[in-house]
Amino acid sequence: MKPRGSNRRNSGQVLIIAALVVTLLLLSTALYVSEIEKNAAVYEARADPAFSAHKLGVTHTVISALANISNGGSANVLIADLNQFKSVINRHSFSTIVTMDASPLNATPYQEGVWISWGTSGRGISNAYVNLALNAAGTAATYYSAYAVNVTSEVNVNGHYTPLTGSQKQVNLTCSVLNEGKPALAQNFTVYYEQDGSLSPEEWVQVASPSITDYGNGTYTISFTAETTNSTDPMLVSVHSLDLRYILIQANVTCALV
Amino acid sequence: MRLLKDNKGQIRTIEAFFASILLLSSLTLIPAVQEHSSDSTEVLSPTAHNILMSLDSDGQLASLIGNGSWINLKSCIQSALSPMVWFNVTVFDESMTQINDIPITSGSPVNDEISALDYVCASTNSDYAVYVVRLQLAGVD
Repeated sequence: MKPRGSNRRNSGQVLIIAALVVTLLLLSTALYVSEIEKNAAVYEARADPAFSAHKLGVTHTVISALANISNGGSANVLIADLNQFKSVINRHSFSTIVTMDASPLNATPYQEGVWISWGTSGRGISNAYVNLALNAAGTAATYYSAYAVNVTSEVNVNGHYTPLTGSQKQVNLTCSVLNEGKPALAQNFTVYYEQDGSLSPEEWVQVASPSITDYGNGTYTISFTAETTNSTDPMLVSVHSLDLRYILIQANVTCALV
Repeated sequence: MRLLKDNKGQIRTIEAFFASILLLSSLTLIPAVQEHSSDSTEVLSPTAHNILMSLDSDGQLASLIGNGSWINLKSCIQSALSPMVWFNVTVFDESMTQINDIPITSGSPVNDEISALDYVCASTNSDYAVYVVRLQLAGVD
């Protein structure tokens, strides 16, 4: 049996060891917390948050210009709008100096960054393409980003018709609308057909009230009754569509007889 | 090292030494914890940016401004903010002329520490326009 005096002498050493253990526990907890904080997503005060907003603004500018040009506006609108946006962001960049270099694509088939192909094979494309370099130089950091803004509205039409009495025909069309290659909704459709099935001269007749079914996934079916000059005239149809961005797309198609 | 025979005083000194180390190491943790919660403007500024950016992502912000839908704009911003945050929105055209003819605010500011953000947004419709939206935020103390 140990004498009582020995326990009393060791009590201080036990306290020291206990204090050491507690200290180690606290320090390791602090270290763990600081390591966890390093991995957490925290707002970086030096990053220029306006940078992403500028990218979004340029995309909206290109959409606006394409909506304007596809509806009959001048091809110079794209450059003018980009310059307008650039001048505003230059005036409102207080903590950074923003340099924006926008270059509309001029390679074939683009002209001043715009390519409009409203073909006769049932496919219509309205497209704008701008190469953009954004540089934001602040006191603490400089950010640079180079990317392309590509805005594409597309409609694909195919159709067939069934002869009715005389020169009347029942026409059924299937249209698919795409934005940047993905299914998109349309604002409205305007449908025309060729009076005598020949483009010389062009005698387009607007369909008064076609029956349009929206499937909600970018696919639409359009049905109407047409009356051509002769019962043997081919059925040429032109579909004009405005997508939700007000970009106009047109596609012409020769319907197949069924 | 061998301790002296009457070692009670030395042990107490060593205990006090470790206790002070323990206290000091605990004290170093306190500023690190307070650092993240002290400045409310650091939180409000990215909040303002995120709200305007999400509203602008599909062109809705410029559409609301173009239509003069100030009540709807107020509702959109109000729904994105905590009720404990005061806000005021001022919309300018590109020549910095104020467009909104009614105040778009949640009331009177209750804090002197106001965070403000100027956001440039462009319209997507064919009638092109660029707006500057100034969103001011303040937290309730």
